[in-house]
Amino acid sequence: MKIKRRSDDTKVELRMTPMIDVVFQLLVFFLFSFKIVPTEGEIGVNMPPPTVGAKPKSDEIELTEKVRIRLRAGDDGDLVAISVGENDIGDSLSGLTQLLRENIIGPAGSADDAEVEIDADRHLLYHFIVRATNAIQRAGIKKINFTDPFAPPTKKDKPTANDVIRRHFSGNDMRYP
Amino acid sequence: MKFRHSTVNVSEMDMTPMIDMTFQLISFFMFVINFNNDLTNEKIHLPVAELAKPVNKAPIEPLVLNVNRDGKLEVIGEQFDLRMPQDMARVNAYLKREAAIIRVKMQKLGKAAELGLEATVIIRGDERMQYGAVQDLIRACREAGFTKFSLRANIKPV
Repeated sequence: MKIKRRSDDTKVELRMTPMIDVVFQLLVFFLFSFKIVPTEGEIGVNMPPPTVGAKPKSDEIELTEKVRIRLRAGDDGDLVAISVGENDIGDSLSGLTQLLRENIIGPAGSADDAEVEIDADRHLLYHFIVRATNAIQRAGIKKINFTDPFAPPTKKDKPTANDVIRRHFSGNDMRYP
Repeated sequence: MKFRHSTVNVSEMDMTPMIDMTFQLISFFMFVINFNNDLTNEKIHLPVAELAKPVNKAPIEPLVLNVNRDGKLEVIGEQFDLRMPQDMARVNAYLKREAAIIRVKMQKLGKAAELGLEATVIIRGDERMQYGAVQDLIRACREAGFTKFSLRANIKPV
């Protein structure tokens, strides 16, 4: 069978103009909404809810020996002094990393389960906190806490060094409120 | 002087390559567009921490709190000064409200209604603010029932 070809071949043409209009609108929208976001990282902090009037469970606390890192701020909020436990180590964060790397061993014998608690002045600038956290992480320590400045039993205006140590071992911190 | 046109010549541009290109561009920008960062505030300069964990997947029902360099909590349409006691009361009220909303959302999702288990508070603090603001904010969040916090930092300097 023979198919007859149509003699008058009408050319079907798509009207492009509206489509191109819309496409350009879309393009412009996506172009303008495009922005390069720097990669954000996070420092995770877990804190159980505060229990009112609860006493620290002493058995639990004695097992974990936390290293207390105190960050002192100058008048303008800059970091002026770091102390680990009771030892002042100046103001260098790389020094802190080195000291921790050399000396910190957790209860099970490795740096992995060592626990560090950061206690910083309230007017210290925030980026020093983050940098200190970074320096501690660099030493291989993963458990980092922050002290709770509003923990209930500290009634004195200025705790002495002994109080600090006692408080540290009585577990009066954010994780065991 | 007179120009004479013997034949009417309709010249037509070939649109096909251009449209191809344009569609390519559109699909590129479509894939790249990210609505997750709507709640972040670009005016805040995050501190830099190379060892901060990259955020791979967005947490479930997060609450994003932006704190600017003056220690003011910026939420949509409002600003709370974290150093002012009267503002702290409003912050507490705001957080309780948000906590209630998140609880309802979690129940709809079939998750545990406990805030502490799933909901994360994302704190985006400016590098120049005082640490006390974060302490106050975390404390207020804990009172509202949140227990998981994520302090945000840039992995590379901007």
